[in-house]
Amino acid sequence: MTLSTDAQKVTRWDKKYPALGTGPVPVTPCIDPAFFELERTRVFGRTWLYFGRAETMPNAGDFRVKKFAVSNAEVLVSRGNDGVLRAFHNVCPHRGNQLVPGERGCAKLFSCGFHGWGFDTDGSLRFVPAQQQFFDFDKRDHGLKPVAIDEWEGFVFISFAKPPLQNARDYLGEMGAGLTGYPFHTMTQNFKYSLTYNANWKIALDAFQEFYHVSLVHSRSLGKTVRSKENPYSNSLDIKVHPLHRTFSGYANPGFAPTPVEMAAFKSGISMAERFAKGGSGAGSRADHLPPGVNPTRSANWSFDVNVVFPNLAIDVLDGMYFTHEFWPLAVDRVYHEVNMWFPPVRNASELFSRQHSAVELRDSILEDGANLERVHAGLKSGAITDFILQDEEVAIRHGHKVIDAFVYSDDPLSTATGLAREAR
Amino acid sequence: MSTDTTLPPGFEDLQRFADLALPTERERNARRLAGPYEQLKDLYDHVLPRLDAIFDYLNPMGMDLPDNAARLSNLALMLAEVAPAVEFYQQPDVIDGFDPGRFEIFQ
Repeated sequence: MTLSTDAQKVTRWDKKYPALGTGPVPVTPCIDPAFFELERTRVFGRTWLYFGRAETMPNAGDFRVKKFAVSNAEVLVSRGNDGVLRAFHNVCPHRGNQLVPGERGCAKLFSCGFHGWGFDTDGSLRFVPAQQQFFDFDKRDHGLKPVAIDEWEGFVFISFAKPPLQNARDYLGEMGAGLTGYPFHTMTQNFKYSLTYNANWKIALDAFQEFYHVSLVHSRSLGKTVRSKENPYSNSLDIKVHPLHRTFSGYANPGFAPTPVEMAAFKSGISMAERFAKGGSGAGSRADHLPPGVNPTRSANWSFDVNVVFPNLAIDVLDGMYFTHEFWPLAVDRVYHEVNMWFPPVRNASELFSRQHSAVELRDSILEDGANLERVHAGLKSGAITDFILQDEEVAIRHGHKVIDAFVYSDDPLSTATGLAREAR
Repeated sequence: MSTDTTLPPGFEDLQRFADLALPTERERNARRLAGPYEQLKDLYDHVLPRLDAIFDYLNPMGMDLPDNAARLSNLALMLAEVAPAVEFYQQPDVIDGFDPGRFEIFQ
């Protein structure tokens, strides 16, 4: 068996997706404050936005608060006594005070710290001090202001659109269908990290939606798991453009030689480096228990898939663990990057060691990625270049920018995006 | 707060690393970044060969570890923390990496 046949093949994504073109991609949307103002409403105001995992709020009264700076909003998601998750603006309807000051917890009642209005976990107003002094007042008229919420495979999304274009399942579409059945809900052990870069949010996202950088940026660390002599630039096994989203499937180096601690981690439990690199253990061995959207080519040399959910979430899926990247714009030149790794619950010290080792390796590789982002933003701001020159393997970036354009400039972005994603026959 | 740093019986050879057996990832990372590299390398060289023995001792206890066993587990986790420093970078921090002081670890 020739291990890397599938990766050696020069797949021409431009032939598969002719509507995306091959031309340069303008940099203006990454540095123009006016474009960013349009993105606030035309992109982030119209799409589903990732809130968090449902398992982190399992019980009645569990709540989380998340800031959406790009929408100047804070959203409170709370699980009611009926078990239903609901989303609200974290704003007291009385005078506009921030209702819940913390980030998470469990509550029977949300009580405003300004005048003591109290709200049930389903958002209804329960208690108003000196209620008889208000005018024509009916508590039923003054519940928390709802925000649209929907759930797909335990991923909780909210939307500021009134109403959202589609439900979350339809929004995730074909990509979501291909991932359905992956055991996300069993992976409850979490490692969480965050960084804030002085860079546009798309510069950060784009650094995580191509493998072209891997051979250089990660040459000392994880790069060796996903490139080989046969595939020196870590070309993707497959790239699939969905109308709004995109999946690219990563190559694994069958000749990967682990370091001593990586080898110890392999023996001890789920190890990211091992999962990245162990594809050579036999054709099909990694495929059968995974849904069709994971390792879609059923390659024995598969490492992991990057599933970019429009606009700013990446769900990176391995066999046995996954991680998410969120890129939240704070300003045209500032982005908050949150990373969450998810594993099955740990049962003993050696499993904890292997998971922690995976987390450290991912953390260090993100520091390697992060170093370039502020330099790129500074470079773009200088005006020295007007366009990105993208190669075929950077098609996810090309697609991402075109879908953003569709949302910013089109009143029917779904149709525009569907046209962009049409495959050549 | 206890100042006891004793490791379980049988691991006296690793006792000199016990003050690096910090309980959270954030503390372990800060300790790694503080260096010096030679100390991280020393820990790597001496804890790695003992890893099988460490897990043979700890794993039967599951996740509910007494204090001295938890310390031993944290020492293994410190090996995980310093591994890239030794195996990839030969220095405490990532080469040409983003400022680790601006990287937040939540656990």
